[in-house]
Amino acid sequence: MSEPIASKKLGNEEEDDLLKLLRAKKWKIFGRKQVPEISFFCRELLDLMQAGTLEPEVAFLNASLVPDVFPVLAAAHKTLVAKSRESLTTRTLHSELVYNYSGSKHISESLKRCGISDTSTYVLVARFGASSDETTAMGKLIKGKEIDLEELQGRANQAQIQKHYKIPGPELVISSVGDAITCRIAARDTL
Amino acid sequence: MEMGNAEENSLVLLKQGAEARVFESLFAGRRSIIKERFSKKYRHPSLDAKLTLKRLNAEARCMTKARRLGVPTPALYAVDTVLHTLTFEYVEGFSVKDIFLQFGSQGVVEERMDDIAVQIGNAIGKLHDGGLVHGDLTTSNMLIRGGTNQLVLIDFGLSFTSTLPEDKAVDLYVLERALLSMHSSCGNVMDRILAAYRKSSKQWSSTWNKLAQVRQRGRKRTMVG
Repeated sequence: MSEPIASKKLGNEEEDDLLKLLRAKKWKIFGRKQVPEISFFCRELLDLMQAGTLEPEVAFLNASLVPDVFPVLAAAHKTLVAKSRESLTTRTLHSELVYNYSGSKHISESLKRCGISDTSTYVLVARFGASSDETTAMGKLIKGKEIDLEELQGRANQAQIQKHYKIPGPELVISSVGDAITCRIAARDTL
Repeated sequence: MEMGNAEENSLVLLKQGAEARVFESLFAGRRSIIKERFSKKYRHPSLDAKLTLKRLNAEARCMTKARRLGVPTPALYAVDTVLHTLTFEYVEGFSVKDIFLQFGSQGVVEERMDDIAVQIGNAIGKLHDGGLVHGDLTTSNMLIRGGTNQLVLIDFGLSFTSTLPEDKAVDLYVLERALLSMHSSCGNVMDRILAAYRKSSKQWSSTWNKLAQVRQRGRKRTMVG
């Protein structure tokens, strides 16, 4: 029985670090002139990610689909367990987080919907075990306004979440959106 | 086995059954339950691995399916197919068994009983209409969430999907027997449960007819012919 304890411990410590480093970023749009620049910028981040040269490596999540940090932590837990067994499905630890958060088995579709695209304006940035230096570095790299994680709930796109995770009406009577997402993340591989 | 309870990440053994061990732990800061299905040493290893994994996955699927049908079950947090564990929400509150056993002696009021019976009937009706059979409906597998008094169904280890009236009738019959043997002092709770079930299930009549048959012969079908 020593194994679950060890893996739990690893999970929780790293999650704590992740929690500290989770930051919601709201891209501020001042006027029309800014829009192409932002698009160009997201493109740039995407290119860096695909090339694997984004430094430090981070995960960008479509924050409209994140009503609460808890499902992100559940996805992070799943990611770390897979990493500890050398059984990642995607190429990097942080892309695995985005893939796991989607609750779907379709990798490219997951990265498209739960990751960022050319037109993203509202992004959640996450990194495993980041140092404070790395956090400030990320803050500089992303030209946007940082907002508090408390705002996630109010800014989440309920309709988009229900559609993506296929959450029927009756479920929301008995469950929060965050818990509904968490269940789908956890149960994905059992289907 | 670490049994200290002050440690944040420690596992505390709550119960041990024939199929699984149940621990209390923390998952990403939330109080949680870990259910570990252990291997049976008397089975052939490859058969054992197959069965354990199949049942683990089935339980996770049924738990989440019940939620989609609008029946409260603990929220699933994680599934580990290597350690054979399910991690889910810790529901604070008493089991229906404890509440019913206190009936009379501790002054459990009639309205509370009624409310619980109606919730049980509604929950089973929704499950059955959605094609899900719980498989082990007993009062110890039902919890009442403290604060909201919401009924939460647990232990989907014997659950399966079925649309047969036979399976649903047996599901109800198991509950009826459990109520009779444990809670005969509570009056006729089953009638109240069935009344609520009748209202919430659209397939009431076929299930009801089958239930009459099942009552005659018992849970097992006679294997003649």
